[in-house]
Amino acid sequence: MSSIFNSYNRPNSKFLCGRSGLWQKPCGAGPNPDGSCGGTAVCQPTKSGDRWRCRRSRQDGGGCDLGPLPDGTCCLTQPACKPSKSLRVKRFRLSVIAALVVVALVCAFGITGGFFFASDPPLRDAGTLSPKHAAVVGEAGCKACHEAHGQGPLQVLKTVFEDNTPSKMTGKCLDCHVFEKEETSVHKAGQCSACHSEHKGSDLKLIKFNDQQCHTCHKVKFSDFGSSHPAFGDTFPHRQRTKINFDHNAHIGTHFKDARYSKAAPEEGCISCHSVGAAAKAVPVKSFAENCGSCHEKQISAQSLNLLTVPEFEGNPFDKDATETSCVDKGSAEVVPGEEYESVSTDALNPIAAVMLDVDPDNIADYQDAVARVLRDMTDSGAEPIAKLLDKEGAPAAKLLAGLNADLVKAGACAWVSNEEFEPVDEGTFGGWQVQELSLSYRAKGHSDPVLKAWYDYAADAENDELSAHLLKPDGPGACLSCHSVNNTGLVEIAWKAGATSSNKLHRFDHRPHLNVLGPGSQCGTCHIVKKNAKYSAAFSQDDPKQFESNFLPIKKETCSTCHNEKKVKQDCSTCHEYHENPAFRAKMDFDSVEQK
Amino acid sequence: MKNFFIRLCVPSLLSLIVFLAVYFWQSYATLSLGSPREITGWSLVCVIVFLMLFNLRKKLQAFNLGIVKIWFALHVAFGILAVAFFLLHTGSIWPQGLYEQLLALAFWIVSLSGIVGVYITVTFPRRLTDTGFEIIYEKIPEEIYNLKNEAEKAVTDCAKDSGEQTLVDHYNQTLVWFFRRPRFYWSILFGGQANKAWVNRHFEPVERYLSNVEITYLESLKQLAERKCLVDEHYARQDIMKKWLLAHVPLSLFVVVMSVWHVTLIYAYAL
Repeated sequence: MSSIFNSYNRPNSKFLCGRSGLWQKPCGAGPNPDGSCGGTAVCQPTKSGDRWRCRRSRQDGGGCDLGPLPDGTCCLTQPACKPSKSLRVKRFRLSVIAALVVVALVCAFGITGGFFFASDPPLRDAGTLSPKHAAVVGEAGCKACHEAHGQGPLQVLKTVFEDNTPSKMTGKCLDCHVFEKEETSVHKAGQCSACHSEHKGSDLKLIKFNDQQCHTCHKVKFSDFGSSHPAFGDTFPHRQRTKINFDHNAHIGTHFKDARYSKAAPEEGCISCHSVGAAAKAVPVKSFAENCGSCHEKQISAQSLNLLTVPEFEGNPFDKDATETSCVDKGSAEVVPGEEYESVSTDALNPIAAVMLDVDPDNIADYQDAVARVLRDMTDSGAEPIAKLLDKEGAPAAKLLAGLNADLVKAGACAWVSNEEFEPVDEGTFGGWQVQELSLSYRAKGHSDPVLKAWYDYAADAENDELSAHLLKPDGPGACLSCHSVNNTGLVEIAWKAGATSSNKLHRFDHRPHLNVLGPGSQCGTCHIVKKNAKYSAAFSQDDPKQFESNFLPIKKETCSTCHNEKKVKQDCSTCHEYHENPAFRAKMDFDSVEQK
Repeated sequence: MKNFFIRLCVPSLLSLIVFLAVYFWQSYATLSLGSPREITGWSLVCVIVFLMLFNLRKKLQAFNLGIVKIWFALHVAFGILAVAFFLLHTGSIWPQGLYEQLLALAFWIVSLSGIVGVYITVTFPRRLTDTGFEIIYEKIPEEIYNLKNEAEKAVTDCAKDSGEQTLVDHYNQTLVWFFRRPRFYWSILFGGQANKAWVNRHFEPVERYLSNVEITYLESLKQLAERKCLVDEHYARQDIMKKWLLAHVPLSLFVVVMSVWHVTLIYAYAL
C-alpha cells in the first residue's frame, strides 16, 4: 500500500505494486489490502458540494483537464496490475513451508515408518551399530533394545515423559551381559550408557573412558604412568601363594642338580613347564604328566585311603545265624565253650570309619557293636551300609565309593565276620578299591584320581577335625596335598587346578604382546626374577593363602615404565585396569536365528 | 571506543563465559559418568531459542527491547556459540544416523547462511555509502522508470534538434536494454565493475559517428547511465541484504522443528 502523496512502498505491507515489479512507475494508490490492484484509476475524486474534484497528485501532473466523470469516478484509468507479495510475506510462507516439510517428513518416514520402507523408519535410524551388537540384534532391529519402538507414535511420546528409560536400556543390556558381584564392586557401575555409547558406526569403540574419569573418584592422582603412578606393592603381582606348592628354588637349585633327576630338568627354561602358546593374563603350566609325572607319579600310588579297617573286638559280636544266609561258605566264628574269643585283628578302628560311625576309635566298647553291625550288613548288602553312613553325614557317597565292587566287599565282610583274614584275589597293581586282609582301602589310579579328589573335597567341606587331621596333610592318601594347597579363606578349598589366580580382577595384563616383544620364553626373567632365599614352601604348612613368600622378587613399576611411557607404549589407565570386575555373557543366548541361517 | 566495546567485546565475552561454563559443566558430567550430551543438547536449544528472539524483536518494535545494534551483535556472538555447542554436542562435524545427518546438514547450511549474512550486513552498507548516492530500496523501480523516461526523452529531443537518427538507433538497439531494468546483479555483488565497463564500451566508441548536437545529448545520456549504475549497485546490494533472510530464517525454523523430533527420539529411546 502506498501513500497518496508519497509513493514510498511500505515493506510492512503484505502486497507491493505490480508495476514496480515490472520496473514501471508504481501508482500512488498501491494495492488494496486483499491483494487486488488499487490503482486502476489515477485518482479518487472527492465531492465538494455538488461537484466532484480531481485528486491527482502533483507528482503525477496535478488535476487533469477532463476532471472526474459525473458518477464521481476518475476519467483516467489504466489496466490493473498484479500486485506482488512483499518479502516479509514470502519469508513467512517459506518458513511455514519449511516447518511443514519437516512435519511431513517426520510423519512419513519417522512416525509411521514402513510407509515407504519395509524396514524400520529411516528417520529413527540413529546410526550404525557396532558389529558385535549388530550381529546379536539381527532381525529384531530396534525392538531388541528399545521397548518403545514399534508400539506406535503415542507410546513413543509417552515414553518421552517417563524418567526410567536409561534403566530400561541398562536392563536390556543385562539381558545378555552379566556382571557378577557388581553390586559389591568398588566401581558399582550405574547406567551402561554413561560409558558405552552405541550407534557410533562400525569402526568406533563402545567405550569412552579416559584417565581423567578415573581421577574423578580416585584419591591418588597422577599425570601419567611413567612418571607418577604409585609404586607397585611389595608382593606384586602376587597377593597370595600359588595353588601348587612348587618351589622353583628347590627344583632348580637342588633337585634338578641331583643326578637321579637331572634328566627331568627343563632344558628350555621357563617354557619347558609353562605353555607359552596358551599365554594370556597368565602363562599356564603344562599338565602333571608333562611337567611332574616323571618324578612324582609313583608318589601318588604309594599311600592308599583306608576306608575301613577291621578293629579288635572283645568277644564275638557276630551272630552265626544272622550271617550264614549271606555267607554260604562262611559262618560266624564258632566259639568253643570254655575257650575265650580271640579277635583276628589287633588294630584300632581307622579314623574314617570312626568318623562315619561317630565312635571313639580307641574305645572297643564304644565301636564294637557299631562296627559289627556294619560288617554284618556288608555281608548282606556289600558297600551299601557304608554308603548309607556317608549319606547320613551328607557326603556324596556315589562319588566317594565310585567303582567299589559289592561282591568283593561282601566277600571281605564274610571273612571278617568269621574272624578270618580275607585273602585278596590280586595285589591291586593298578590301583582302585581293594579288600585286603583286614581292610577296605582305595589306592589312586593315577594323577587327578576322581575318588581321591572327592574324598579330599569332602574332608575340606565337612569341617570335621578328625577327618581333616587324617586326610588333609601332605602325606595323606595319594600324597595329593604334598603339592596341592589347602586354602582357608572362610571356606576351606583344595586348589586342584594349577596356575596363578588373578591377583586383582581389576588388573589387566596380557602376556602375549610382551612375549612377542621379548622373544618366546627367552626373556621371562626380565620381569620374573627368582628370589633365591625365599622361604616359599614354609607358607604351605598353614592354610592361609595370604601368608606367603613368593619364589620371585616383586615386579617393580620401573620394569613396566621402561616401555610404557609417553615416548613408547601407551600408558593410559585402561591399558592395565578394568572397570568391571567380572564381565561375562549369560550362558543361554538365543542363537536360533543364527542356526536357521 | 565505548561503542566498539559494547558492540563487539561484551557479546563476545558473554558468549565465551557461557561456553566455558557449559564446557566445564559437561566435562564434569563426563568425568562423573553423567549425561554430558544432555547438558550440551539443552544448552544448544537455549542458544537457538535466544537466536530466534532476534526475529521476534523485529516484530515487537513498539516495545523498547534494546537497540538493534546490540541485538545484532548478540545474535552473531550467540550464533558462533551455537556452532561451538553443536560441535561439543555431536563430537564431530558429521554425526551418525540419517536423521541426525539431515539435522546437521540443515544446521550447517543455516550457520553458513548466517556467516554470509553477517558479511553482507557488515560490508554492504559501507560499500553503498561509498557510492555517495542514497536511495530507498522500495523507490528503486520508480527511479529506474524515471531514468528510462529521461533517457528516452533525451533521445527524442536529440532527434528533433539534430534531425539525425544515429543516436536514436543506437539507443533502440543497445542502450534501451541497459535502461529497462537493473543489470549486472551478480557482478556488482561480487565487487565487479562490469556495469561501468559496459557503459564505457557503449558510449565512447559511438561518439565518432555523431554530430556535435548529438554528442551533447550523448553526454546527458551517459550521465543518466552513470546514475543508473549507482542505482543498479544499490538495487543489487540492498536486494541481497533483504533476500538472504529468505534462506536463513526458513532454514532456521527447519532446524528448530527438526530439533523437536530429535529431542523426542532421544528421550523416547535413550534418556
